[in-house]
Amino acid sequence: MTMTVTRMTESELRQALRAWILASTAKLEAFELTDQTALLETQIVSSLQLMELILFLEETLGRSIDVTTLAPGAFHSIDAITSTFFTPTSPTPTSPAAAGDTSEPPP
Amino acid sequence: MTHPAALARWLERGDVQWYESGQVALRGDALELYQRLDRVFLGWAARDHGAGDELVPAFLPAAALGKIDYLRSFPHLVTLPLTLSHDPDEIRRYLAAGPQLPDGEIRLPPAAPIRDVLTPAACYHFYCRHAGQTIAAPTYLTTRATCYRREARYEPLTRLWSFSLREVVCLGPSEAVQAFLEGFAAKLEAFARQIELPVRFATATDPFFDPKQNPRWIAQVVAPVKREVLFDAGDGDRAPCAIASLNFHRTYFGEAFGMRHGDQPVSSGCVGFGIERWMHAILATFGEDPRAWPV
Repeated sequence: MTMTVTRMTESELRQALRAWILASTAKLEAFELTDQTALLETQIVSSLQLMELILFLEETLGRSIDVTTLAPGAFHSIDAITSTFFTPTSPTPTSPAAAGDTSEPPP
Repeated sequence: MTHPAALARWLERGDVQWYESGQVALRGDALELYQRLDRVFLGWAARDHGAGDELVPAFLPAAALGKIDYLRSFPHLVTLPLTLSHDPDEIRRYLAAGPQLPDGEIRLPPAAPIRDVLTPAACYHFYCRHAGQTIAAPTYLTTRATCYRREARYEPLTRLWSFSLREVVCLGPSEAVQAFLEGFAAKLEAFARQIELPVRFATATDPFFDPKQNPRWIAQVVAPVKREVLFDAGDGDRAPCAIASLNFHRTYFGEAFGMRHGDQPVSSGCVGFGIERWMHAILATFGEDPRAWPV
């Protein structure tokens, strides 16, 4: 597959995360999920799904994440994930997953 | 450390007998300290939470540990009760070949299926016993069990293959479990301050095998659920050791063992006290004279 690297905006990352979370859980409706909603403490994202979320972020951001450097709170909410991992220059392949609310659930 | 040689004196006079396999035998003042400490922990569980003491067996069903993926998460810690095949002919052939090497090592025998695991944590017995049950109100439980965790190296009192773990468990709604853990944290802090035991609290993770590959370890890093009470003898000889831990499981065991509170999986939390490690802390701080102990 040919990947065209583009720059993802912060807003696109938030939308992509939102779409991934809603596709991965049956624990809440779209209107209940805000950028401040606690994800792990409420088990909206389970510990087993966390690895999938990290892989999704790696694909979306186009770079690897060193899990040994993760700090408490890094995955607390969409706000926390964005503030931890978003950099304005993050390259990302153009794909449905990167396009925000049209993304498909992960396999 | 105020009393660096206290343990050496106990080892010399036999109050503590050391097994190189990572076990201790206790008698005399050492056994007295062990019992006094356990009475303190049991007293907290009984007086503050109405928990009655229980006795649990040495083995847990392997199928129960399978529900929480224990063997994948902690294979390096597991101790298995291996027994010989039930087939007399296989046993005869095994004996004829010589079951033991000159240095005492036992040759691997034709084994019967292994369906049990030596208890790695006392509280697991409670989740097995309450499997499938509805927990209507916060429930407090306690037991002291000999626990088995294989390690690469051992040292008297602080790093043992088999050790005594007093645990206090709360099953119930999340708020009750968190209040239980906060209450115990405050109790431990006040107790340590009162007896002037040098400890500090620190967040921690469980000792997973290949932790970076385990999503549960990553989850514990980014959303801490474990706090340890660390005693530092300050002698530079031994690393600080966790004498107690406070663990919030959220609904992990509730989901794995089908325990419910209302229409939701029950939350749980436990506080664990490593009794031999507490002995080390008391001994190093106050010496081996029972009259000097604060417990």
